[in-house]
Amino acid sequence: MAVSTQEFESIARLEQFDHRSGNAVERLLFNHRGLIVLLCALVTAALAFSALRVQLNASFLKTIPNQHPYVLNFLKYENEVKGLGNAVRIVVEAAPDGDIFTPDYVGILKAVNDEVYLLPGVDRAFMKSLWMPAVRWIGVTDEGYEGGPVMPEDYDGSAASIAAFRDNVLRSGEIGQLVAPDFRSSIIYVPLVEQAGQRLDYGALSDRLEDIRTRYEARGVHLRITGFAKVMGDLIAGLYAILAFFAFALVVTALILYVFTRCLRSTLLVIATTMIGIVWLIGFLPLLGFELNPYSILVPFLIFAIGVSHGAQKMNGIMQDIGRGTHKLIAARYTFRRLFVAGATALLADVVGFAVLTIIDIPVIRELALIASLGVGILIFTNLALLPILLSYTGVSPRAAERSLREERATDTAAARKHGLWRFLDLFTRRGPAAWAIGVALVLGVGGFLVSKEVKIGDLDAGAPELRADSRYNIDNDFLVRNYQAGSDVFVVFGRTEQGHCADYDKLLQVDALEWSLRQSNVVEGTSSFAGLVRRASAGMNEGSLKWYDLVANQHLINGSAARAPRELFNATCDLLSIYAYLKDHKADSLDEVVRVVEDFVAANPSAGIRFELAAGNAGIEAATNQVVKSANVRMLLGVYVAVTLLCVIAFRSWRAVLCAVLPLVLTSILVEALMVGLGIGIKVSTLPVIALGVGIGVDYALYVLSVTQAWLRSGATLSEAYYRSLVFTGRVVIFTGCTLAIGVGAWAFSPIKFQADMGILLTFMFLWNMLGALILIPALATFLLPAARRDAPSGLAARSEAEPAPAEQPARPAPVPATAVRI
Amino acid sequence: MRIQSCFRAALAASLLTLHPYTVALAAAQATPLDRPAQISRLAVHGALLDVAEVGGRLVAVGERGHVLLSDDDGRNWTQAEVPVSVTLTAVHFADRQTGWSVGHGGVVLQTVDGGDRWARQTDGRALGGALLEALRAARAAGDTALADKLQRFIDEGPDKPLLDVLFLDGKRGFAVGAYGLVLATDDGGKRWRVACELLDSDEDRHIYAIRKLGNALYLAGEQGLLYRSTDGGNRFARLESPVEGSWFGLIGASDELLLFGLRGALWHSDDGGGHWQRLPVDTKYSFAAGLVLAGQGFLLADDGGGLWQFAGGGTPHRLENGARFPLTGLTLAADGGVVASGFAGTLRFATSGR
Repeated sequence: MAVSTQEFESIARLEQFDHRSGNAVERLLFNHRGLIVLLCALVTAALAFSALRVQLNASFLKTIPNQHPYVLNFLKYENEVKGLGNAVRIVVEAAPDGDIFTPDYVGILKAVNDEVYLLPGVDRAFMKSLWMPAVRWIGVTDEGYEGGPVMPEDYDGSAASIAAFRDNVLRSGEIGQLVAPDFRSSIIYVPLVEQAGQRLDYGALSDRLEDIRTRYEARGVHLRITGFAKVMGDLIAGLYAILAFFAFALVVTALILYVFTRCLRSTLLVIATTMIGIVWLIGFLPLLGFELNPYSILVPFLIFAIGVSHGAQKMNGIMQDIGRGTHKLIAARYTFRRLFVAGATALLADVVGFAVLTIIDIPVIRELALIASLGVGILIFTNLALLPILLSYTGVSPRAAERSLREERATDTAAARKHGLWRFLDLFTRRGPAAWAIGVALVLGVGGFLVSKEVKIGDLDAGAPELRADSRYNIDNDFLVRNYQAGSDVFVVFGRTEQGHCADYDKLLQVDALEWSLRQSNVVEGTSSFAGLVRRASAGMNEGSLKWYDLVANQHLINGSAARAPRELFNATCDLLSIYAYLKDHKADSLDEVVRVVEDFVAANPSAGIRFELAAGNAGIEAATNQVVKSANVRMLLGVYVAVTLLCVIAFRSWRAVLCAVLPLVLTSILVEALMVGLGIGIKVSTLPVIALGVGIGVDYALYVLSVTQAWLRSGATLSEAYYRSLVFTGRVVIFTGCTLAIGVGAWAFSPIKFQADMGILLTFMFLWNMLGALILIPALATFLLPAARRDAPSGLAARSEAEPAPAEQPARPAPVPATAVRI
Repeated sequence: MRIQSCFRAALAASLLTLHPYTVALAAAQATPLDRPAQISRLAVHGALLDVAEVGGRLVAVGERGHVLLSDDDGRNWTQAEVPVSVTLTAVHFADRQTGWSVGHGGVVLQTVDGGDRWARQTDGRALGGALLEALRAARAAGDTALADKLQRFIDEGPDKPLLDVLFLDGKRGFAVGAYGLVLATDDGGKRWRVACELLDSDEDRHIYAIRKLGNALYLAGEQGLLYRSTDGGNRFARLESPVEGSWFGLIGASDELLLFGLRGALWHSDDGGGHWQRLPVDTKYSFAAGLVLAGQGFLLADDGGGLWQFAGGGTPHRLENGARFPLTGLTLAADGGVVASGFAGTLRFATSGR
């Protein structure tokens, strides 16, 4: 990067301007500006129309790492053993004074069951409830072993059939599974199918469930609904609340921009072009086959904030030119000439931050990265090209232009008239305060690092951490966990055998041993497997005598049990067993513990004829996600820092300057992890991108501040002078940008969706802290790292040899700087 | 459906017949007969199948080789070390120190220190010699029905659970099990012999209980199995069963007997099993255990968790303080409370009237 003090001639009259001046891109854009505006209008109209078709949805498969061995196993076996990933549980709770053994309750349960059965996306063959014939009881008679559906086939609501129903429930083995032990509620278990080609519309599904909930709650029962689909449904519903935050961010940003420019016309123009960019972005999504999901919905916020800050820079330049009396079209072209490359490079730096995210093997993060990159790419056109073109028509308000020029002139005069804030920041170019600042930063860095070692991977709260603890969903989930053994967190281990050997006694012995090992863990509340079923069935086939409750070494007895086993315990070709562990929660530590138990077991029991493979169930998938996130976090940070460092090396061509730019970012990265520890936020799919975004956008500040400082240093200024120059030119933009970005994302903190709030808090922290880092730590580090600048570049000529040609003034007397261009 | 018929029909084709006393196991794999019971916090909530009181201590046995001890009348339990992890089905003490527990895989365990430590006396694999010996004896005696039965035991391997155990003194004891299996010892279990000849030669029903009531020994079991011995166990004779349903146990004192079993079957006899009267009980659950309450009749536990009290002459009535899990055993604690074992741990309660 080089900063030039190149000055363009002020031309008030258009006729005097050479329209063939400037580069080819500038001529192409500005010499056909009418056509360009018309084309943009047409494109905007078309994309706005397309934007209306954008879908809000979420996909279970997209939130999981599709290349992880656990997920590969899950996907490989998914069709053989159903209902392992994605299911909704509907708890139908009886009226406060009743239990499930009343005709009212049974009737309502049937009505709910039948409605849910018909919902699109339901895997009906595997649905379970007290009204599903697949849910059976096992009993003994004088003749031996008998069984039947829990709901009597001749149920008619009479006292006799209620009594029969009650007896069946008691001997069904479903207490704690489908029926609460207090008999005040029962579960409708609804597995969902999500296959390529027939996407599940979670928003619509959730709406249908809510409709069912509303109608039946009017009849006295309580419905509690949990499962990934409901979380996604609630998130999608929450997205509409997000629009309010967007409106808030828009208004506040516009106000700040107005205060910054004091020009209504250009404020509106900057907001409008940024919005055009967002319309284009959203319009492109359906064309590219993308949907907005609860994660990528946040991209438009980021794009808006980034767009506005770059737009503000453009405007700053045009105002100063117009203030000097230049014609508005010529001012626009000058600004384009000066800032297009600079702005485009800065935006490309943002793209680096986003692009690094695509190394993470989780589709939602990749989509977020791609959409964000696309958005920033669009901004290069809308805010760096279209905005100057539009400004060339509208111009700016003359009073604002004058004011801008007056401020700039004022800063050129004596240092005694420095603004208070600038005077304060200037302190950090002195060795004493600089040493203090660095000392404090070191203490923060070391302390933060120690704290950040505690940062956890994955979800730290029970229930759905995407939603707030007091959300209806989490209250419902809490009810489920308290009342049922088979809660919503299921971890499935596969046992692979030779075909036809899944029921061999020696294989089941190992399954049984693994199951028992799992149950020793504090995080496992219960388990189920074919081995467990054989234990029970062995008693069942011996007239219910519990003395037979064991895995009897009798293959015929086992085969007899296999004939009655539910389909989820082993597959049709009898080479795959599923062992289910029901966990008390899906916190990262709990999942680690379960994985460790299984791995220890496999290590300690070299298996003969059976191979245990991880994993499925929501908890198994989440364990895989955590592992991917954990390794991705390190790789992503490495990647983003390598990219940012390279960018800085190219820009500054000085390792000392690179250190000045990058060290404050490192401090921010450390502190944000410490902050996550403090706020109880784990590193997960939703927070992982934040860390990369923070660095990618944070480096912008360093580029702006340090490049100007470095240029002035090279032209012979003292650090204090050089830094002051940089403050009055780019420092104000940095402060403006920091505030705009922080407000844009800070509003998320009020989102009903917890992870959006978390992302908002973390991003706000990073944007503000990076801003402080750029304004305080860069000069402080430069005090020690860049004192030799004067020797490196003893004369201004040397500096300019790297910069644009046409020197305008003597660097030894750098007072008048009519127009300074930043080139990155 | 009765499992046994299909079981036998398919037997010829069974892998299990490949070699006597060898279950088709990978060579290196430890079976539950070899694996010591794991000490687990879950044991107290697991399936327990019998409970006994000895010298103020309670001893309960159950799944996975769990043996639980309580020295505070059933309030707190600790787990004893046991060399096997098969399901233990019954426990019985001859005196304060000496007791036996039997279970799956034909295992017999003995303690000589009141339950703290348990050692294996025999198991289904070690009984191979005893079975061959009994087979030779049966052939010598020309008892082909008994010989066929013993040959089957040899062919099928050590999968037969023992279901109850009784010692008349420190020396002479019996263990009974599935498919009419009877073991006997005269030396406190140092040497167990197969004693199927004590019953009818073709007896192949499960024997769920062996009891000494008064001066007689009784066997009760599957499908109306009922035997009595009045000569200290030298010879058992069939008793006429009032119905063909399965019996899970019997209790009583001298000649007054209470026989109980499948789906609420409860029968009373005043003459040591000569005549039976049915006691009507309104339940579908099976009675699994019974206890004589001094002066207060009988207590019964069912596999629905229900508790029933029956004082001579009246009808059995259900007590309020049942369990939410099937019950399997009953005993009187030293403090007068009753302790039940069951499918999900133990239950402690006082009987009504106390």
